[in-house]
Amino acid sequence: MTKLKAIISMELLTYKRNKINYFILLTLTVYIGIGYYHYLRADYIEAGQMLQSSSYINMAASLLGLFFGVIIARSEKRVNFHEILSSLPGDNIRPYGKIISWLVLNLIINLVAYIEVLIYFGIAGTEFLLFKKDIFIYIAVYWSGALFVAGILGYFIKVVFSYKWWNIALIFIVWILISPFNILFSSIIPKDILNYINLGENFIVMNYDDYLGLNIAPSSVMKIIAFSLLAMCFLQGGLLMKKYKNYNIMERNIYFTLMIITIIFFCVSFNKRYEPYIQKLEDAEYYSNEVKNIYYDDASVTHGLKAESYNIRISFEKLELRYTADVRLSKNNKSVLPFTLYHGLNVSSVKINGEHAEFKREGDWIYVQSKKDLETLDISFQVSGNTGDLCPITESSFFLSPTFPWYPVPGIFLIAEKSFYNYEAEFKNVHLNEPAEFYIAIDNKDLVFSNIEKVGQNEFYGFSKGVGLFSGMLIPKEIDGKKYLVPPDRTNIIKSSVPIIERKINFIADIIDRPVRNIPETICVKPLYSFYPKYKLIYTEDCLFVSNNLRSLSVITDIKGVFRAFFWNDVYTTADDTHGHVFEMMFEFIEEKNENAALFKYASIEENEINKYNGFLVSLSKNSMDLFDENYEGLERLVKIMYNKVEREPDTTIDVWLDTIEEIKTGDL
Amino acid sequence: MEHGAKKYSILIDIKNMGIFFCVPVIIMALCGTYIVFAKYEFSEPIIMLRKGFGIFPIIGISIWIYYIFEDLLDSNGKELLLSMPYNDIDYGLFRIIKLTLVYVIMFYVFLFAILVLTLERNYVFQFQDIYFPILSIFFYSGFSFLTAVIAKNNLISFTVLGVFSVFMYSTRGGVSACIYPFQWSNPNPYYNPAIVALALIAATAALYASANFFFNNREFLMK
Amino acid sequence: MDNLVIRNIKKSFQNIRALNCINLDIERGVFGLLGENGAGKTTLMRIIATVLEPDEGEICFGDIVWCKHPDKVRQMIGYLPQEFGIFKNITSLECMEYIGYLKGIESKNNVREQAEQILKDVNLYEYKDRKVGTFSGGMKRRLGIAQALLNNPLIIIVDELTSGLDPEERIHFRNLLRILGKDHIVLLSTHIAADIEATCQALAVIRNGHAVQFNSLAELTDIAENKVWIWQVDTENYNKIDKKFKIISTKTLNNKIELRIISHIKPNHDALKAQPTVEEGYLVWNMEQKNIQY
Repeated sequence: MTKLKAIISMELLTYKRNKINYFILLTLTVYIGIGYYHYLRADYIEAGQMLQSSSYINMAASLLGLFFGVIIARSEKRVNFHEILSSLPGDNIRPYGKIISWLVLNLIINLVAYIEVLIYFGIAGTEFLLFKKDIFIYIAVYWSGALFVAGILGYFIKVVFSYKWWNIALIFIVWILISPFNILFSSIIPKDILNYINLGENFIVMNYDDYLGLNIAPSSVMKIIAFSLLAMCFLQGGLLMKKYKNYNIMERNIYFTLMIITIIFFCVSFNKRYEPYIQKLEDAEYYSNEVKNIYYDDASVTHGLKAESYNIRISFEKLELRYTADVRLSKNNKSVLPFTLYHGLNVSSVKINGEHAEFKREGDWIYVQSKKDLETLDISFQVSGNTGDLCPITESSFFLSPTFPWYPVPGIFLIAEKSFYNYEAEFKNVHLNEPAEFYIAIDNKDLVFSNIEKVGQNEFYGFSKGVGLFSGMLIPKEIDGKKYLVPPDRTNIIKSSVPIIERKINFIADIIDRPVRNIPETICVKPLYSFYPKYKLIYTEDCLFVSNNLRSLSVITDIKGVFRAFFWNDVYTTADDTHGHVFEMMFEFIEEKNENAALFKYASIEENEINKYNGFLVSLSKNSMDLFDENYEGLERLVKIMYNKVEREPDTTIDVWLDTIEEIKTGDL
Repeated sequence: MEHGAKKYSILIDIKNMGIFFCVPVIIMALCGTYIVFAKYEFSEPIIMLRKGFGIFPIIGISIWIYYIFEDLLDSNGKELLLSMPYNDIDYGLFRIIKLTLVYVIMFYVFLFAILVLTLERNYVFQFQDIYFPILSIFFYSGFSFLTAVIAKNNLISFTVLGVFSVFMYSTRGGVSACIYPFQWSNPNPYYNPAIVALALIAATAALYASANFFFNNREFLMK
Repeated sequence: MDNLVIRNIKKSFQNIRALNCINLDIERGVFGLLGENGAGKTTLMRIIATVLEPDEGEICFGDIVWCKHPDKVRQMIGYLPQEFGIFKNITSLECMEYIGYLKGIESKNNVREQAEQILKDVNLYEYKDRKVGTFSGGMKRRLGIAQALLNNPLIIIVDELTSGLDPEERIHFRNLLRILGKDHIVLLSTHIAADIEATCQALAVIRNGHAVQFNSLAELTDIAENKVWIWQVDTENYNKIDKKFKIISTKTLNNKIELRIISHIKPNHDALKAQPTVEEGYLVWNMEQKNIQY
């Protein structure tokens, strides 16, 4: 032990006295300072983006680590000290001393980086400081973790490939392999493996999502530990190879045992590896293909079914949602019970009153064979799967919207459509017609919020038409009688948007002659689904959801989004979503009164260009432009009439628009 | 002062480098192979060419620059070499410029070979495809000269270059005031190409001047 | 005190045989290893210092066998290699303490005490807090000797002791080795015969991987008995001397030059027989091995 201590002390002393280490710390300060310059100085603070975009620090750390490893390995030889040291006792334990002192150096660098980041965050005044633990883990995993592992790998390279030609070449190859740029090898090595051996972020160009937070989870910490152990095993193997006779049988046995344990741990870690969340963008294609329901022709969406209560026990496995949902339905005589459940969620079993029931899964619907004349219908579903791009699940956060059928909703509902005008699927609000009793328990260590009341550690209870669950980088606040659930540094912009949204609600309600919708008591930020303004807001009676990426008020409060949220999506309609799009254009035009509005642009299209666009839309735009006078009365009347028609008669065809325009022009309406 | 031999043969420099002469050649060959055989990933073929050939082949000049001076900077016999009556400018700066020109020619030879092998792709060339790589290579030549002369250690020199390159590439020129050597392969849309070119020229000149300043100081090199 | 016994040591590096069946029996005292460059002296020193392993053969010291107890061996030796360096940024005292701990001295006070005492012995005490990077070559060499003496090793292995030392230091360390030789086995490897003559009681000559032991210096010098001559010549006639004579050294005395010559026969009627030195004994032995006429 004395010898080991002496070796560690000497290594640390040489680190302390080496000016290059101070230069490295200075470079680190500059690097972090650059992040501060780009992301923290402006009005729109992006602390999380600053960290996520720090791949250059991660890559620099890896490269530095590799070279440091080589320097550590050859430090004695370089000054001709190695010969004496190899004649002294303790030569076999020198590598361990070096690793321990390298670890100590890494811890110091980690601490310095952590403090610097906190200082910069403090200067910027960001609320991200409330997540100090996350910041620490991020720095430990992606910066100093990479540095440490790379150092051991560099040491290993020098020990095994001591001829310098191989050193330099191998160092660069290893560096690329453990960096986010290892995707260059994707034609040779499977992507899964490349993602795993990458010690940095997997998708370095992705925008940071304030709601979902940093890409850290217990599995990412486990990965760094696994890699550290594996690198140390490689090193020990290299040392054994070079000086086999120096080790006695016991030492060799210990090494082999440790090697086996490390490999097992590594395999477990690989199995549980961190999966970063990326949008799959599959819904657009899915909803391009119409799936007809196979049992019912009529348009009644609930089909007379009413849910009285739900008891849902939830757990998460990586990016998957798993739960058992016990649904109590009111008495009915149906032989086939239809439910709506997002197609990404698989149903493995259904029981009615404790007995297995036959069921069929078709698209977004489940059809359960029931028996007639049952007094009570307690249906139990075993479900697991993904909830798509609208309700993302990551290893450390999730968003389950109350307007999305992530649990079985009785009835046949259309969850989304793919309209001509959009590359994306357009989701509709799906919820119960009447409130049901909900009890939800979640097996999750992180803090979870909901639109119903919390009654225990991640347990919720309440009555609602739809239940949402939210977990992410959220800070609950109460300001001016409203509750906010927002990521760090976003409260002000959300708060500022409230009066503007209220004004626009009044504006729209006035035109279409509908009651004003009040902004709910709770305002919650949701993860970014799309950059289109119409997906910025989701309205429910108890909660208003505002999309992430909240750079400007005008985007949040865009009238298209306000209309969608308060006067379209919340009112379930089976009408072709083209109508919704047209209303958006018209409201935008009426409000903005300028040539940038979509309606004007379509109307301005020249005759010879019309075939590149939707003919109806162009025709509608040109015709409706005739309606607008100084006060836009004609246009407003068109909107009001058509809104009422479409709501009453969901199968209203597009031609009705043109006919209505003519009637208004001629004074018939 | 009497000068020694004024002409330093490039062949001797190549021999001096040893096996490290081949490293950039191999890098270019590998990058070229990748471009020729890999699937298209970008909307225009020229983008793949720039991205595939605009990073490592540009930085590769650093290896040559370091290793022609290794004997003078980081060897046991440097004391003897430093006592030789060489002309600092001839032995330093001009040698580097000559070598860099050879490297540029090699770069374009490889590029031409790639074009010949992928004739079916419709490359749309711009004037910047000619001048940007040259400027970037010279920039790295100056930068590696400076780091070699100051660090006198291959690991430190390459670490600084690597860390700098990573930073530049990841941040698309970060806070570099348009001194961005990857404008050809990973352009920053906010940078005016002409300004970047001028900035690179100015930076290269400054790097050469600074490196030469240290190179002239034999006592400094001796440390 | 036990003898250091070296039996049938062989060592090759790829296809080159560096040591070819070395057998030596070394008693307490200063034992010299003499040989030309590339003879195998350093290889043998490294094997004894456990830095290298022999291909064949055995080394023992009492019950301790090198191949079986390398750690015990390292505890009891002190080694100063031919090329020796230390981290530049540490002080000499820090270096001594570091090596002291590695050698097994547990107590901090004990380490410091020993380190400081030895530094005094080698005249480095006043530089104990100076960084080694600022030391001259001679000072580094002294520090090298100092670290070899830590923890009172039984066997001290010194490769090229006086390399880099000035005349005064050279004399100092020769004296030091002689004193150490009373209670230790000191192995001194050198190609400077004067060092052997000044410090050793016995020696071995290594040539082409073989060693020949001489249990006293006289055994080697006797080889050159009656073969060493002193001849004084005029300065002008110096150049006319027959080149066949093996001139070992020259000394200028006023108008004459005094030559020491190795020759079977008297080179000139004016030449006088001289008492051979170890160097001359070695040279004669070497020439006889090579069948060189003299």
